[in-house]
Amino acid sequence: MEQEYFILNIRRQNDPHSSSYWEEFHIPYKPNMNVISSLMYIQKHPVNAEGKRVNPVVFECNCYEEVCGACTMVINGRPRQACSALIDKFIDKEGIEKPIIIEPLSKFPTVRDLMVDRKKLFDGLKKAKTWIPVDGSFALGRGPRYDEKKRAYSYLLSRCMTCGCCAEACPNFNEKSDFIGPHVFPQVQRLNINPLGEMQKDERLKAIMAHGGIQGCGNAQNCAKVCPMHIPILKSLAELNFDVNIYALKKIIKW
Amino acid sequence: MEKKQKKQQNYLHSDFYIRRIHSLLGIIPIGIFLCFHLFMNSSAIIGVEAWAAVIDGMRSIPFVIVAEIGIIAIPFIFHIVYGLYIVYFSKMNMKYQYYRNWMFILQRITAIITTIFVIEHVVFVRIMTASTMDVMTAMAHVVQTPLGFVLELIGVWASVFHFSNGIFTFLITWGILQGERLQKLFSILTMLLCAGMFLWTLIILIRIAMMPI
Repeated sequence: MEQEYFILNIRRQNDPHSSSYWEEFHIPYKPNMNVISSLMYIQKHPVNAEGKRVNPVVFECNCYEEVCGACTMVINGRPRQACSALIDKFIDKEGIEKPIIIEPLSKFPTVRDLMVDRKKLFDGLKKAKTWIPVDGSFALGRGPRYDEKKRAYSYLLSRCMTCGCCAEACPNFNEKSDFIGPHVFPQVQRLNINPLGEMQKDERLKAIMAHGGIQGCGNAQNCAKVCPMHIPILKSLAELNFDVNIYALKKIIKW
Repeated sequence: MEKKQKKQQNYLHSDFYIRRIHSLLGIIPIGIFLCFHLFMNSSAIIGVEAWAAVIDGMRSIPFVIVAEIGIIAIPFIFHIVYGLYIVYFSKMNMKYQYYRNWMFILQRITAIITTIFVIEHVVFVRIMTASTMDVMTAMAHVVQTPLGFVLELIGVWASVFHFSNGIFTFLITWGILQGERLQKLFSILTMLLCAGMFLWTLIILIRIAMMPI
């Protein structure tokens, strides 16, 4: 290998209100690096490709094993976790000369550099009431038994880490529309099939029929393609479509 | 105060119903009308007389204007107006090279093409014509020029694609296609339907272009 370093091309932004700019960094190659360790190298040696000392790149990370979603960013045009984005794979595929392009998630307000405020995701979950209200002043006893098939399906849905990849890729989740985002629906379905959560099923269905709800889905199906956890988003969406239609029909005939 | 809030909430709920009506209208009556319309005009494949007879027959239905406004015009206007609102609120992203993402983009592009085409078609072939002969010449004279033929074909194919892909999204919206494999199957079936309708409409247009009018 002639070139001993690889290139990171990072879209940076100094504060929430300023405009973004691109900056290149050369990172000495070592085997088994990932984007996070490259960004950590920049923190230690905050020198850009022109040899100028700059502010280190701000980013978030936590678990380093693709389960927390904190380090989600757009890498070479695709939303994914920086910790599971392996440098060796990029080099094998495109060669060491080709810069790796790193951007913050575009659908959320940027705080600084690669750090974004993903509050919108949690607002969506809150709007859809994705919880089971069991708090009370006395013990309610054991809950109902969980059907094994439902439990297995529920497990697949529960792996969501609210990283925002699906929302980033969704064409209908943007600053113009009030769509709450694709990540909400697997969680609604997970609680709707839970034997305890089933009791508030109608409340959740009503919540996702409100403004910005499930009707905002445009069937582009990018969400399922980019989901790092391979959550059956489409299945839960289609099932909920059926459920909300039945619920709406019931409401109409009982009007 | 509470009442006002509730009223606002009710208003916000209408969103869902409007979108569902939009989806339903795309198939009933607009999709059905499209198929009916193509079957009617397939008589052009047989010849000028057969085509004239069918158009005559349609024109002689009593109170046809009521059906035209009630079953065709109003649903069309609703579907177009709300549809353009949906197109406006999506942020198409061509950087994701996934099949369904392309379908999503094409659905919106064909929506705009179809809107322009339908308005043109209604104005020149329905509103500005007084007799059966007018209808036939209005169509034939456009299709008999090369540019007119291409533009007409783009308009017809855009409508047909929008309809075929619309069936797929309709079935998802109404919760009928739930399984992954079923979705894949219908994705193929609707595109086969689209290919078939492409061929069908092409033959109709070629036959009209060849007519001695």
